[in-house]
Amino acid sequence: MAEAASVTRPSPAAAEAPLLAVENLRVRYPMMGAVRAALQGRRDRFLDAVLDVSFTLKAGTTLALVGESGSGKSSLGRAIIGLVPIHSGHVRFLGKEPALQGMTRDYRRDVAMMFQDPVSSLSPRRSVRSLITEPFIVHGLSRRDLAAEATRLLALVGLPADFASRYPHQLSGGQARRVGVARAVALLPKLIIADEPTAGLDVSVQGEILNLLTRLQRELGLSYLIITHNLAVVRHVSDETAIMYMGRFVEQGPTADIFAHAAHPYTVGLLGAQPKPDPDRRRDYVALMGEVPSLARRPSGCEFHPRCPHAQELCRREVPPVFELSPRHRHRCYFPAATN
Amino acid sequence: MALPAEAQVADDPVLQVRDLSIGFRTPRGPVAALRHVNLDVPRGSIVGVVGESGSGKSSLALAIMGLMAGNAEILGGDIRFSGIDLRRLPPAGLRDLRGRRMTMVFQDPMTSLNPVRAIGRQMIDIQYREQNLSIAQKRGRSADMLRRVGLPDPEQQLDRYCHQFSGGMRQRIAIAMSLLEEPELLIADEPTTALDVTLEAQIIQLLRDLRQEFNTSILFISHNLGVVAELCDYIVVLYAGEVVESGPVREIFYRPAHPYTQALLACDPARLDLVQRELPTIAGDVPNLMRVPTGCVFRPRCPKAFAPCTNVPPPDVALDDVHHARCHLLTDEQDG
Repeated sequence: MAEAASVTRPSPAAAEAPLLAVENLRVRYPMMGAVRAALQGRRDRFLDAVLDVSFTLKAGTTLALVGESGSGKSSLGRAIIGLVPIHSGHVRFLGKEPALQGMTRDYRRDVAMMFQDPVSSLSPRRSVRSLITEPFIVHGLSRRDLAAEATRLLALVGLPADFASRYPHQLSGGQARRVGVARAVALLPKLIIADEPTAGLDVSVQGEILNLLTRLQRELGLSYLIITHNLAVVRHVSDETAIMYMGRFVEQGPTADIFAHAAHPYTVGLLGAQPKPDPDRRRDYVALMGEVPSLARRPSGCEFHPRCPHAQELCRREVPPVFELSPRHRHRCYFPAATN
Repeated sequence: MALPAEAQVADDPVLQVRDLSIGFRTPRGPVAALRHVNLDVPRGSIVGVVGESGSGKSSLALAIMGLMAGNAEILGGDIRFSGIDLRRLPPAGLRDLRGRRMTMVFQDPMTSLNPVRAIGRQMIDIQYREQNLSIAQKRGRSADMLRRVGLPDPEQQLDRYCHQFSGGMRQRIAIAMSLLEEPELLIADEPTTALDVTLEAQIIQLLRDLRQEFNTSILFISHNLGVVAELCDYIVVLYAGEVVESGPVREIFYRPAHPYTQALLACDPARLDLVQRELPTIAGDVPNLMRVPTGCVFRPRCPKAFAPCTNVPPPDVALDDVHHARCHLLTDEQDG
């Protein structure tokens, strides 16, 4: 049986056909108008928020995007769903390139977004019923029994049915988060981009929301792109992790590999900076000093070199290429930590 | 007692809260936000107040500072600051303490700093009590303090506005302002919640260094167990407006006595050694404080609840002279 299976097995490329494939994606925002740039004699009037990012996401898996504020992780999520324009590179979803087709309605059904702050992303003047059935109306599915759909969605995300008539201000942070999840899963998407799904939640509620996302992944076969800065959570909920710094993926790979042998000094620093809930284990303070430089003054060479404890002359001069530790574990560092 | 040597603890606590109860008047009825809270901040120590949203952490801080909302009312109890009874102090007396001997750092420096006044001006303004100092001297003191919290080129920074600083720098400025008058007590209400972990680590280190330098006592309010574990000497665990457990940091983290503390520690994903998709949670919701449950306030969510928890409020059990918890299970153990 095993031999027969190996014979009939399709080529690895087809078997691994990813749900989402991002290639050399670049997102940039203008800093100033063309006239002002010309007057100031500036050749480049853009900020690169996402720079040369490539990754694939397999169906049914979770990719965590980790980085500090301003690392470009939200811009990347928004570019994938089409909320900010792509400057160059490709976003392929099931082999098609939605940006070339004007972000079709099908694509918008297949890819849903959960926004960062649920309370401010929910309209304060609409009831929960109206909020969670809005996707059906937007997508011309209003002939469905909306009341029944609302009841179904509330049950799916673990809220009592009488919450349908509540308004966002009557919800706690965790309940508002659940409403955000219900809106995202309403149209049975294939991919959900969750921007900081647990920011601002208490640990007990954070666990509930993550367990809900895990259960929905199992039941509905969802894939997630989770944007977060909470590494403690990433370790438990994601299959793959990408570490972002100033718009670039400085390290990406299977979550277990990233945590066990981080290669990039920035990853090592981030892991060391996580608070340790143990009075006798202090976090490593020397690891990462200073702050992320302004994107308007992108350092030469490796962007991380001004904060890097191991920076050499080479790092100041040349942008490091992508190195492969294994086919899936990649990083951008000339002097990686885990080259044992 | 597990206290680091650098914390010089004198006999009289900087802050002593006894049996404090606070209520809010709302259109739908009174809310019992804090009930019979006891808390001590020994001189030179850092005391962490931990609790989930709605547990009353911020109400406690604002009550101590005398900054409560208009519909809030102290229903009973005492707040003593360096022996001064704050509840019986006239407003002028409180104003004299506040901002000088006790100061506060808020969660979001973007909203606590004045956006239309250069930070140097704000720092000079808050030294209004120092009538013997010239403006130039006050400016010099401000620059010194900015340097001590780690701002490069402080002289130039004084003329900038708060939107010109990053989040981490803004919080450093807020801390510098709170320490200008070398207060005896600094109340920090979630000062690192809005920051990235790398900046949080730097702010925590800064608070620890400043405590040593100024011998300031700190009441540190947080929902983040990791931060509290590494910074504080003592922990007070608040749940639904009640102190359920208090004690030295190692006692709380290594020998938590109250089921709520145990559950809270178990929920922290950073404390799980093995990777697991299904994360532990605390079942149920925080009770509505318009209808405080009779008996133990944690009973509806407690996995170990038994008969007396339903209608008898649990007593404050002293496990040793500094470690206290409110739970019927502990009285049982002591009897048996």
